Amino acid sequence: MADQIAALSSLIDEVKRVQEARTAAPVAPTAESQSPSFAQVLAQVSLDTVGALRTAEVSAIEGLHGRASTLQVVEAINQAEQALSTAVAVRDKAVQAYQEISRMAI
Amino acid sequence: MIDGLKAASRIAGSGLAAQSVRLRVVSENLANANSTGQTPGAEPYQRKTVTFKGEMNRALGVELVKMDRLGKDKSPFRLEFEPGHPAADESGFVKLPNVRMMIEMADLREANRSYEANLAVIRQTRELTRMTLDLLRS
Repeated sequence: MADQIAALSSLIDEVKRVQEARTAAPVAPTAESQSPSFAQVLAQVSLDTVGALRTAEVSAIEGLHGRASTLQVVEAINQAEQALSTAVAVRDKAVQAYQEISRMAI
Repeated sequence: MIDGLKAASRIAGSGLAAQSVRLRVVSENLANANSTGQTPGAEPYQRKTVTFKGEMNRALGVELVKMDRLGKDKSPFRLEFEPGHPAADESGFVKLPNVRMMIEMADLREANRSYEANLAVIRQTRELTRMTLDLLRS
């Protein structure tokens, strides 16, 4: 249980780093774009993921103290896992797109 | 409106919680199958029953299951002739709980199966989400 919590917190740090990297280098928005930019959407997804991971971590600790049932802990961790895998898949796809562009023959 | 797979997993989660309450009630009944009163003619343990109801979750827009209430079984108690017992009445009969092992075991089995069914739903939604995400990695 304890190493799961450690793993979760390191995952949170990772997502935070990704998120900071994204917000530090945002795509320059065009004048006519009113809808949120791709970078903003990504930042929102990462924020949601961090929220889900936090909830999972809190439930895991509550479970260790015997205040939350196994069911609650499993449910929270399951949700966090799904959110994280979604975020990671989207990130991989975005990074892949950037790499495609950088490999373009000039 | 929440994504269908996520909703399914939440609903199955509420089902798991409901079935665990049912297991708890069955275990209470089984444990107290021989709990009698302390004074002459006193009532013994009365078998507990549990009912469930659907509950609309406005945030998710889905119907979850929730425990309705814990009731008591009104069926008559078993009588046994045992004059030396502290709960025996003037004619020597002791009232024993209206818990019947057979019914409790059947209920236990049913709760077990329902729990497994809900677990299968959760497993399936997880698998489907994973497979959908795998479309992104190719």
